[in-house]
Amino acid sequence: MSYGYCHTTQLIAETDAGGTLALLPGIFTPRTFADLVSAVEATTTTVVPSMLTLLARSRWHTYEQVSSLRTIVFGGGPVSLEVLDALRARLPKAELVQTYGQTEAGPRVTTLRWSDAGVRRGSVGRAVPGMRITIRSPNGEVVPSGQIGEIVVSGPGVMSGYFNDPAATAAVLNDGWLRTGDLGSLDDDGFLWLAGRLRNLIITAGRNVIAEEVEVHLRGIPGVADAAVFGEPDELRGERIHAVIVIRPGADLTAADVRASLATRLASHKLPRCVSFVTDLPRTANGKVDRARLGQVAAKESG
Amino acid sequence: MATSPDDRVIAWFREQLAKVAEPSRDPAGVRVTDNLREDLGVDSLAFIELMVDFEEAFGLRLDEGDLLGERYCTVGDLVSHMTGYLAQACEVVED
Repeated sequence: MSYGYCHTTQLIAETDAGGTLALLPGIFTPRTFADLVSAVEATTTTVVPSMLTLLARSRWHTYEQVSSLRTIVFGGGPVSLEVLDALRARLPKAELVQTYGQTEAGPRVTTLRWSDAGVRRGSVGRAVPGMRITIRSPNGEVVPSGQIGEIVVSGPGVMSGYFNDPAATAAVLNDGWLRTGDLGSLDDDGFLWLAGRLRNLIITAGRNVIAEEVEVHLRGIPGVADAAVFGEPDELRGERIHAVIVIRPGADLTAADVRASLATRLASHKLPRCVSFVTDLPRTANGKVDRARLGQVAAKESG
Repeated sequence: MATSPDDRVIAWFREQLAKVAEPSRDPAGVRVTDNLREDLGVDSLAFIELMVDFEEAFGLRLDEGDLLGERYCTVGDLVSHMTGYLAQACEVVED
């Protein structure tokens, strides 16, 4: 298994409840997954959105093989409503449970049973027992319901700090309250709605990638004058990494060169799926890269 | 003119790779010498997506090792391996 998601919570809870764990030993495809589910007659599974998307595209016989499933827990990125509707139609006996969390939070913060979602489709649900959620303004004040701000949480699962990194810990942890770096709002009934991120974090196929890490390596490629990356919506991956590059005058660089060079320095899930070349990066008034406009500039210059 | 199984496999991969390549392109723009990762930008997830479709299109169950994108460097590597796989599968059926 090559991804984390909420397994610390999920797998411990399942075994504590007397369940038996079956781990998929190799690559996930709808077929390998369905073979395992039918072999052990699995009743619950935990997956990331890319897996749900692949499952939703598979053939009907796959659904017969996984008909023992009663609960499908998922999270770690956005999932389209079409994918969830397709799965519900084909697996009517299985409850879909959306979750939201992050490693630093323990990790689970909210859950939403899809059968109860109703008008709250698109929300990530309410706090799990023991977790408290607040939405705060940039100066740390709690904002009224319905207003977007940073999601700040506390609870027994919140980390005590980053290992040997007091500065990073102090930046996110204050008196037991964790700044998640995610933006969202709470409605009057306590349902959490996500609205973006404060940090330059890209979640691609369930795995976290810090934009700055990829950018450092991009700038180290001979011929690259400047570079930035951003997360672009992708049906299968949730987000795909898009690199926007400014080439030095006289240098000759292709997307294949960039990929080949990065492949020797970065793990495969951190490699940009898309590469665009532009004359200059968009910048804010104070000279910082304007990440919100990267996609627009890339699309314009790529024609 | 009859189409050989090899031609069918090549045509199928050209068409599908043209869709999953980044940026997507015309099937004629996919060359057998193209590197799957570097020239076409096929990442591990795109590769799995491709092979899931291949299994369905040709009615095969590939061994797990064959689903590993790292196993193939170029389009030609992939096509020749899958052509061999199909030929073997046909022999078994004929036996």
